[in-house]
Amino acid sequence: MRETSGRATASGDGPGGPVPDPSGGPYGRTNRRRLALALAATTAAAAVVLGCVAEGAVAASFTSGTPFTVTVESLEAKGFGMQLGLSTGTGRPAVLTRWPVAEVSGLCQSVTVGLPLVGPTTMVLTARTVHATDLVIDAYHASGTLNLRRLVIGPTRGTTGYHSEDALLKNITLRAGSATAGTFALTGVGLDVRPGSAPCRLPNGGAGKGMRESG
Amino acid sequence: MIRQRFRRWRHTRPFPAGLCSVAAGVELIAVVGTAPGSLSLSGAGAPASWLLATLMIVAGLTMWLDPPRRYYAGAMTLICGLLSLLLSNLGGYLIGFLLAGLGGSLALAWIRVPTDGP
Repeated sequence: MRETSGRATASGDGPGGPVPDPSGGPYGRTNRRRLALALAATTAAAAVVLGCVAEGAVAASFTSGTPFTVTVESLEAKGFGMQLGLSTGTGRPAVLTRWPVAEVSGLCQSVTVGLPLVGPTTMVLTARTVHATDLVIDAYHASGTLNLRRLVIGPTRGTTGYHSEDALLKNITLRAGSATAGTFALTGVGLDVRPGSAPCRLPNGGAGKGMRESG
Repeated sequence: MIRQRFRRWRHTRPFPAGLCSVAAGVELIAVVGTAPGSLSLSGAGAPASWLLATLMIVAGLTMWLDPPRRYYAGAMTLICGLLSLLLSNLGGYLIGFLLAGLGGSLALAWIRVPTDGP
């Protein structure tokens, strides 16, 4: 796609043609109508993509070299597995937790990154309810209340781990390296950017009791 | 003199478009983790982020250094931005996606003015 205005000057404005003077090209400006058109098309495409994510039609992937914090008010899962492994996000050893079908309410996810010029900034994603299938979370640290039924502690596929038929978690705080899911359907999504380090916290500050493990 | 030349340089190419695209790539990498070592052992998510971010930065530099190719660069930035929604932490928590969408759109919307001078 080249400029079709037919006003090309002799300043090397051709594909592959060298520009003779780096600061000597023709002047330009932003065409507002084109900008509006391009923005509208992008917004429409993004709405389709985000709609598919929200409906669980496509999988969204979260990976962070900086561990992120997840807090969950309650999580009900059919099937649960936990074993030691390597985090896909950071390559550090972590506890890989598997949740074949999980219903989450009161999810909050946050990651703090040191942005250039701005300094530490926390990005927070919240959702009222989440329906996830084939969810795998690499956790470094978890605290909260865990209720398991038909728990088996022992060798699972070569490594010592835990698995159970279903699990009920209350007021869980996780430090995780990555979370991937087959489907991840969110309702009541909120997104927030805060200056400084302000990770997710449970309303009742329920960290530090119950189950504890660290990678 | 320098400021005047910079001004001329900015006005002869889609400068904000390139700036937004480069910023989008930097933001995606910043979210995934700034240590390049984290790339070596990562699974699906991190390399996709690095790939998309690198493409965005290259596209942004293309807008600056080769303005006639801004349409390719702009389209590439837009596609990378949309893919980053799926592959890279929801587009770097939407910020990277918004920057990429703005940068790509600005590149597509940049046109030459026929006369000399702004």
